[in-house]
Amino acid sequence: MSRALLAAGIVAGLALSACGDDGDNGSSSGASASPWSGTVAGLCTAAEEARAGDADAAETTFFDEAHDDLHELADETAAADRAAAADLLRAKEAVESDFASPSPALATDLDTLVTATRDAVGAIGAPVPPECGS
Amino acid sequence: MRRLLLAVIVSAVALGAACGGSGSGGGDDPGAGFEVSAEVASFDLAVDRDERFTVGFFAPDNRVLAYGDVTLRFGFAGTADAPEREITPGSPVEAGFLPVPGQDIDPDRPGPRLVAPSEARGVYGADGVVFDRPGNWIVTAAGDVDGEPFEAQAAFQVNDEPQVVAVGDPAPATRNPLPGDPSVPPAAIDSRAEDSSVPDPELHSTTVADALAAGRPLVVVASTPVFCTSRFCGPITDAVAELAREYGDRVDFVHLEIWQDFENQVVNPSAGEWIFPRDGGNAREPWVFVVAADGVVQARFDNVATEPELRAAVEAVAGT
Repeated sequence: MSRALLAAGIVAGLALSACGDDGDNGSSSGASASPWSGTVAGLCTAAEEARAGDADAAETTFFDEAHDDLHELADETAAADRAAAADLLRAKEAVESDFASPSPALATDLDTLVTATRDAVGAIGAPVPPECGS
Repeated sequence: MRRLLLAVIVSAVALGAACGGSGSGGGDDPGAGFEVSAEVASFDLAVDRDERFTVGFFAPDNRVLAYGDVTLRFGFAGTADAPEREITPGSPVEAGFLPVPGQDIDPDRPGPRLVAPSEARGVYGADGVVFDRPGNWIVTAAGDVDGEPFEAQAAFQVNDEPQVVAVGDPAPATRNPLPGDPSVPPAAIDSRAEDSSVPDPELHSTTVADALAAGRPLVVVASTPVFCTSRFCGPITDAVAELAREYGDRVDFVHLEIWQDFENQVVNPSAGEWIFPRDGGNAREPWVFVVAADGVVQARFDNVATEPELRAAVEAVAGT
């Protein structure tokens, strides 16, 4: 790839996303699908794994399928609805604390994070992903 | 075409969005290999100083680049008023992998490799990078992943002078609030605080001003454990607290919570003294500052700091 094309890519990326992306993790399809569906689905999977007693699997799923997206979502939400962003970040921190110091509250905290994530998506005006299991 | 392109680059950088970039693997064959995007993690770069430059790399499938080294080349892109017609990359600089603290990994594993974030997260860093002109710059990163070359670029800004407290500056004599102050909610002292319980008491036992007055070396971590939105966020406050438990007899440690009130966007004045940019821009976090007994800042780390980096910096001032 030529340097000019790479530079053009940088420009396009900067101009369109201002250092973030749209949260699209490639899992959505169709005009009405939410770009955050993959994030919520990952959190739902992690919650199920936590409920099954596999905290390690839940942690892996959380970091591989949701963590970075949650930071991007929080960044976007903070510009639109600080309370929703605060709820999201508090819920995320609770889950990360559960991973750092194993806690029986992990599954419940992941459920809370799912709710906070869906609320944050709604706060930025994007289509809200379905609830877990639906 | 090229002039227009560069003008657009500079314009984009001038808009303040100078941290993202793109690239691909497979050398000159656009159909081959893999794609990675680059994101500059450094917050505050200034001209004619030995700077610590950090950058992270991400694949579209959520994998991240980890381990090993990458080669960085820096090119001056001009300014908004005077964009360069051609960007000439400078001499190569090797940048090593710097893992986000709190991960149980061997940072010396061979690499670079694209890995799942659950395996390793971090940035690549080089010390002693000197930028000879203020303005807009492009970093071009290159390396090999499993024998396949990749290249990625990102734009960033270099200022005339550091915008926050820098190495060589006198430490601000901050009178940070301590737990028990009835006028300050515990969550404004540490965003993780619940009710009256503030975690990591070893980071909240003294003020910066008192440590400086006592002639004690000092570590200041300006961070918000709950409300960090950087994608490189990690438990840096915990990493500093670990060092406090080890070096607390010789060095004072202070955590400055960023937010007095996150929801109403009120930054703690005590943190603001350290991280508010002098040009009036938005404050960014986390930061760690290491101050010698004479009150002068000896080291600082923005965004990502590894445990070995922090430990070395603390060791350097512990006997001062």
